[in-house]
Amino acid sequence: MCHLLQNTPMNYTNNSVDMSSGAYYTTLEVAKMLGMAVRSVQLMVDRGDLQAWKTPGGHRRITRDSLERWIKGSRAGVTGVAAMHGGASLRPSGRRRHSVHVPRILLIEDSAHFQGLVSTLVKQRYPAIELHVSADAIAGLVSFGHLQPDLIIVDILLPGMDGATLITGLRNHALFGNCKLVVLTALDAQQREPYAAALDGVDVVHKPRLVQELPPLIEAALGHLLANKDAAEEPAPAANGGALALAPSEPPPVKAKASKARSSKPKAKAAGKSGQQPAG
Amino acid sequence: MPRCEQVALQSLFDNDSDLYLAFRDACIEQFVHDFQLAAALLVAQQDRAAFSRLAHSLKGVLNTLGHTEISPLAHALQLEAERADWPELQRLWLELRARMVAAFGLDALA
Repeated sequence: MCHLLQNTPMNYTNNSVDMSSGAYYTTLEVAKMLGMAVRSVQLMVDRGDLQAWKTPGGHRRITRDSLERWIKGSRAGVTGVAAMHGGASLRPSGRRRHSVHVPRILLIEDSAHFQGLVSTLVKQRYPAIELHVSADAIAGLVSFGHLQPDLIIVDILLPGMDGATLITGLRNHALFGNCKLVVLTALDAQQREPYAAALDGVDVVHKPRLVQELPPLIEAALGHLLANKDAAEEPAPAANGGALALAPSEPPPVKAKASKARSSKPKAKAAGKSGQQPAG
Repeated sequence: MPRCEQVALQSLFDNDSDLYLAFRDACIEQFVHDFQLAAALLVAQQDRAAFSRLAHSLKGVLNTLGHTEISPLAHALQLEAERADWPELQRLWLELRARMVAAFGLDALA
C-alpha cells in the first residue's frame, strides 16, 4: 500500500501512478536538483507543493510531473532546471558566476514594515546591491537555492517553519558556501534563548536598532564585493596616454554610500545580546 | 513630532529624519492592512499563530518608531494569542488598536 500524500490514498496495484524509475524522484534527488535541504523538500511535500506517495518503508517518492510543474511555476528554475539538464553553471565553490559580481542580499522577513525599512535602507546606502525579499521560510529557502545570495538576512519568527529549523537548514544548504548570515529579530535576548543553538556564532540584529546595526554588518559581509565591483567597472587605464581609452558605455559606477555607522567593526552581536531595548 | 518619536529619531535612526519619516509613513499605510488582517482573524477565530505574528510585528514596529508606551500592549497580545480565548483577544486588540489610532492620528480608520 502506498499513499499519495495530501490525503489521497492510492494502492500499489493501481496503475494510475507510474512507478517506473523515471517517473518519480526520491526526496534526496529533489533536494539536490533544487539545491535545497532534504527537510525543506519534505515540508514542500507536506504542504502539497509537490505530489508524492510513500513506499511501504515510509519513503517519499515525488512525481516528476509535480516537480516539473512546480519548477515552471516558481523561481527555483535556475538551479533545478540546470541540474536536470546538466547545465549548472556554478563555480566549484557553488557560487554563481558573473562577469561582474553584483552583490546580492536575500531578506526573508514576513513583516511588510521591516521589509520596507530594510529595502529603503539598502537602496539609500548601497545602491549597487541587489535586494530580494521572501515573505516566508519555504519561499525563502527556494529563493536561496535560486538566487545564491552573498548575504542572507532572516527573521526568526516566520510562517511555515520555526526559525531554528530555517537557520539550520540554510547553514546545511548545499549552496550555502561562503554566504553570510544575519538574523533580524524583534525578540530580546531572553526571548532568543530557545534559539541559542541555532544562533551560535551568528550576528543578530535587534529590530529597533536595525538602522544602526545592519549597515556595518552589510559592509563587513559585502564590502569586498562592493570594492571589487567598483574596481571592475573602472575604465581601464590607457597604455598610450589615453587615446584608446574606452569611454564607459554606462554612467560611472555608483559608489556605495558609506554607512553612517561610526565604526566599520560590527557591533551588533554584542548589542543584540545585551537586549538594551524593550522586549521586542 | 511627539517626544517619543524624537527620541527614536535620535537614538535609533542617527537623526536621519528622511529615513525615519519614510518609515513612519510606510508603517501608517501598512497599519490599514494590519487592522484589516486582525479583524479577519478575530472573525474567523482559527489562526492563533497568524494573530501572534501580527502582534509580534506590531511590537517591533512600535518599538522602532519609539512608541515604547504602546508596544507592551502588542507584546501582551502576542503572548495571549497562544492561550487566551478569542473574546479576550478581541478586547486586547481593541485596546491596542485604539492606542495606535490615537498615537498616529489614524482617526479615519477608527
